[in-house]
Amino acid sequence: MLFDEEYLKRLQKLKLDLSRILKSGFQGQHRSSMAGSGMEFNDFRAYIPGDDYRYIDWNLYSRLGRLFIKLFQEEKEFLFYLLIDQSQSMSFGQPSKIQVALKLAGALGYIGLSNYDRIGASLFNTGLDETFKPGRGQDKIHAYLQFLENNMNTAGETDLNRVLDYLSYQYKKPGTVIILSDFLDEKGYQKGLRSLADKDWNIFIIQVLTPEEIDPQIEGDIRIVDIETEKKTNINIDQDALSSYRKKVDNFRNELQSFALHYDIKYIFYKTDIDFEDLILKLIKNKLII
Amino acid sequence: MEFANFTSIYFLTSLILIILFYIIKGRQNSVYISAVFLWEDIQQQKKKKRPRFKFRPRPLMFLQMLIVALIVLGLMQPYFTGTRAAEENVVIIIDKSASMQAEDAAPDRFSRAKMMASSYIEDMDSNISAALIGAGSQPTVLSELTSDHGLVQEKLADLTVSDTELNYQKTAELAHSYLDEGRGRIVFFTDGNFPESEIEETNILNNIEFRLIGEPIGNIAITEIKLAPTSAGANEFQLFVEFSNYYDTLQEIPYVIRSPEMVFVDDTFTIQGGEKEQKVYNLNLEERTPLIVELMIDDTLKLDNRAYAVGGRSRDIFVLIAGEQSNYLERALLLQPGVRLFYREEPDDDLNYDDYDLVIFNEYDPQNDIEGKVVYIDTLPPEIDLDDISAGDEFPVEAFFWEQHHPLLRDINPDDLRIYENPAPLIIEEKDVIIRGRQAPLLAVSEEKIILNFALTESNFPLLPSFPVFFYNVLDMFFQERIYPEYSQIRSGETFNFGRTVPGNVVDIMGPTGEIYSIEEQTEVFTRTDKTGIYQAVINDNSHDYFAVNLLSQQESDLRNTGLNLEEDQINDLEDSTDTAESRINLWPLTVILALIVLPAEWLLYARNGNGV
Repeated sequence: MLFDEEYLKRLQKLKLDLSRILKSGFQGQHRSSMAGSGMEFNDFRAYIPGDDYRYIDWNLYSRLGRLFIKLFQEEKEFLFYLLIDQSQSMSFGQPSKIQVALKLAGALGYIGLSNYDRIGASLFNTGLDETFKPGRGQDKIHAYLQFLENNMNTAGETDLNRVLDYLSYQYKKPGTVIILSDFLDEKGYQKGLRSLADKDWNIFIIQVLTPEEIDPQIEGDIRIVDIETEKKTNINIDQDALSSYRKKVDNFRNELQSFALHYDIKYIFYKTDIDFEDLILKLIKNKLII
Repeated sequence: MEFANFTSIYFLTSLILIILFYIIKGRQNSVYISAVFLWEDIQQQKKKKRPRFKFRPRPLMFLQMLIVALIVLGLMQPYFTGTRAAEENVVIIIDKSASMQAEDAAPDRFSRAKMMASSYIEDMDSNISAALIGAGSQPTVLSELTSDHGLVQEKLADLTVSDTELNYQKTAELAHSYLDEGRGRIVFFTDGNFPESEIEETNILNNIEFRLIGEPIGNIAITEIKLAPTSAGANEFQLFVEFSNYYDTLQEIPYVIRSPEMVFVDDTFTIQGGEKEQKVYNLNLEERTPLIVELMIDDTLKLDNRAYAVGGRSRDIFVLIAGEQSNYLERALLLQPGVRLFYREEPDDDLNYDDYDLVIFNEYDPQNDIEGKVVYIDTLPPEIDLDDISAGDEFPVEAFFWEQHHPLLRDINPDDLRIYENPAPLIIEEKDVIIRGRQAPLLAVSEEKIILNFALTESNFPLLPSFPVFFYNVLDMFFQERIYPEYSQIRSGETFNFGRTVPGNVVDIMGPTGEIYSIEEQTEVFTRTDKTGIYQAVINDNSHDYFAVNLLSQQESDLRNTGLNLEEDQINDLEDSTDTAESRINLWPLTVILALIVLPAEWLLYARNGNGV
C-alpha cells in the first residue's frame, strides 16, 4: 500500500511544519485583480442588457431610478496541476521511481488541498492517461490519494512533447504545473515545455532518477535492454564505459536544467534515496514551491 | 587422502563447459535499463576498440567453477584412514555354533573362545563400554553396552555352546546396530566356519575384527537323515542316512543304528577322502520309536557323529461324530491310523468341542459356529445361507465339475458319485467348491470346514472304494504333521510345530539332556531346539510324543573350512589386543557444506550483476 497510515501521519506533520514556516513570513493567499463573481463586493457599474439580473442592486435602483450591477472581487482560481510520468521506465529502482513520484505528488496535493488550492493531476506516458479533475478543499484529499494509489502501474513509452502540448490546449487559463518525470525521453521534452511556457504556465519540473541510474553498478559483457522500447544493445561495460556514462547522465541533467533556466522553469532534481518530506521542506524554504 | 569413487573425477570436464559458456554466451547476459540511448554513444566507441571474442574471467565464473569442483570432489567420496580412539564401544561376539565344539583347540574351541574373550575384557580400559552377543542360529544379546566389565564377564561365564549353525549375517547386523553411527569395534571370537558367500553379503565386515580359534582339520559327520513309512506294512519304515568324510584320506567307520531298546544295525564301512556315502535301511518300528544313528569314532567334532529320527505314527487324533450314527463313516474313520473316535447322537449344550481335533456333524445342525476343524455332512455351518431357488437336479445327481488336483480328491473319482436327493442350494464362494452338481455344490471347503452337501444314506458314496480314501485325505489335509515321521524331525535351531494342544492339557517338552520346558496353553510352536537329540512332549494325561533335532550341516561339520574364508588382515592374534583399529573419516559431507557456503556468495554476485541500470 502506497499511502499507508504512516504516510498520512507524515503528511499531517509536514502540514504543521509548513504552517510554521508560512507564519514566519510567507504569504499563503493569492488574490486576483480580475473582477468576477467572487464573494467580496468591489464596485458598481451600469447595467448592460445580458448581465445577470441577480446582481442588480435594487436598493440603488429605488434611490436613483437606474439599474446598476454589483461587482465583486473574485478569489483567483489558483490551479495546481500535477503531471506524473507513468511510462515503463518509471518502474525502475527500489523503491521504484513511480512509487517515489506518487508519494511526492501525494504530499504536494495534500498540502495544496489543505490550503484550499485547486488541485488536478494526471498520469501520462504517450498521452494523458488517468486524470483527477481539478477540485479543491480538504474533502478531496481522500479521493486524490485514492486516485494516486490506483495508478501505480507503469506501462508504455514516454512522449513528453505530446503530453505537454495537449495540456496547454486543454486548460485555457494557465496555472501551475508540476511535472514529475525522469525525462528519459529520446524524442525530447523541449517542444512541450516551450508551449506551456509560452502560455504563461508556472512550470516546475521534478526530475526523478534512481541512484543506479546515476551511478550504475554493472560490469562485463552485457546485453542492455531498454525497459520501454525493448531495444537491445550489446556492450562491454568497464570502468571507462561507466565513467563515460556518468558524464553522459550529468550532461543530460545539465541540458534540462539550462533549458529550464532559459524558460523560467523551476528545475528540481530528485534522487529517489532522498526522503520526500525533506525535499518538500527544502523546496519551500528555498521559495521554489509555495 | 583416498577416494572411494575416483572415477567421478571425469565430471571435472564440466568445468570446460563453464569456461566455454563464459566465452560464447557471456555477451548475452541481459540487463534491463531505463534508457538505452544514454549508452549508445559509449557502445559505438567500445565497438571500435573491442575484439570480436574476448575471454574475460570473472569472479562469478570462478565461484561457479569452485562449486562444481566441490561437488565433483564430494562425488569422488574422499576419506582419510586413521586409527580410532580407544574409548569407543566394543561389541564382543562369541561364536557358540556347533563347530565350536571341535576339540582341536584344547579343551575345545568354545571354551578357548570364552577364555580369550575374558582376557580381552580384562585388558579393556575401564571407560570402554562393552556388549556381549552369543552367535548361533539366532544371535542373542547377553549383555547390553555397559562399562560394568564384571557383569559382562559374568554373562560370558554363563554362556553355553549350542548345536546349531551360525547365522553370520544376522549376527553381524545385530552387532553393527550397537555401534554409534558405525564407530566402534566388533570383536568376533570364532573359528570362522562360515561360508564365503555370507561374508560377501554382509558389507559391514570392515567393522569386524576376527579372533580366530582352531585350525582347518578333518572330520566325519552324518549330514542327512530321513525316515519315511513304506507301503510294506503299518510299521515298516525306510531310513536314509548320508555320511560325509571331511578328511582328505580314506576312513573306516564303524556305526550302529539303534533305538533305546534294541540295536538294528551294527556295521562298519569305508569312505573315500572328501566323499559322501549314502545308505538306506528298511526297519520295522513300533509307534513313535526314537532312533539313533551313531558313528563309533573319535574325531574332532563329536556332535555330528550322531543323528536322530522318530519312527511310527504320531499321537492319536480325537474325532467326534455328532448326529446320526453311520457304520460306513465309523469304519472309514477307524481305518485311519491314530484316530480315536467319539460319538454324541444328541450333543449336550455343555459339550466342549475344543476337546476334539476334528468334529463331524452328520445330519445334525449345530446351534453355534464351531471353532476348529469340522466336517459337515448333509448339514450346514450356521454362517452359510441357502439360495431361494430350487436345486432342481434330475435324479440321480451326478458330479458335473470337480477340482481334480485338490488334495481332498487324491485317488478319488467323483465321476462314480450318485446322489438321490436334492443337494442344498448353498450360497458359497465358487473358489471353495470342490465338486459341483449341475445346480448346487456337492463338496465345498471353507477354511477349516468341509461341507458334504448330501446325506451319506442318500448317495452311493459310502459304497465306493474311495470313501475311506476321502477321510484319509481329510485327515491328511488337517493333520499332516501327525501322520508322517519326517514332520517329527527338524534341524537344530529350527522351530518345531507340534500342532494345536488339547485345551486344558499342559504340555512339557523334555530336551535331550533331561531339561524340562513348559509350554503355555494354546502355544503351537517350540523354539528351544538348539541341542541335537530326541525331544519328548509330555502331556498331563501321560500320553507322550517325540521329535528329533539334528545338526545336518556341512557348514559346521566341514572343519577344513576353519578360518579359510577370512582375509589375513581381518584376523587379529590373541596377543594383538591394542585398543585401536582402522577407521574411515569421510570427507564428502565437508565438501557439500563448503559448496553450500559458496553458493549464496555466487547467488549474491549473480544478483548484483543482474541488477542493471
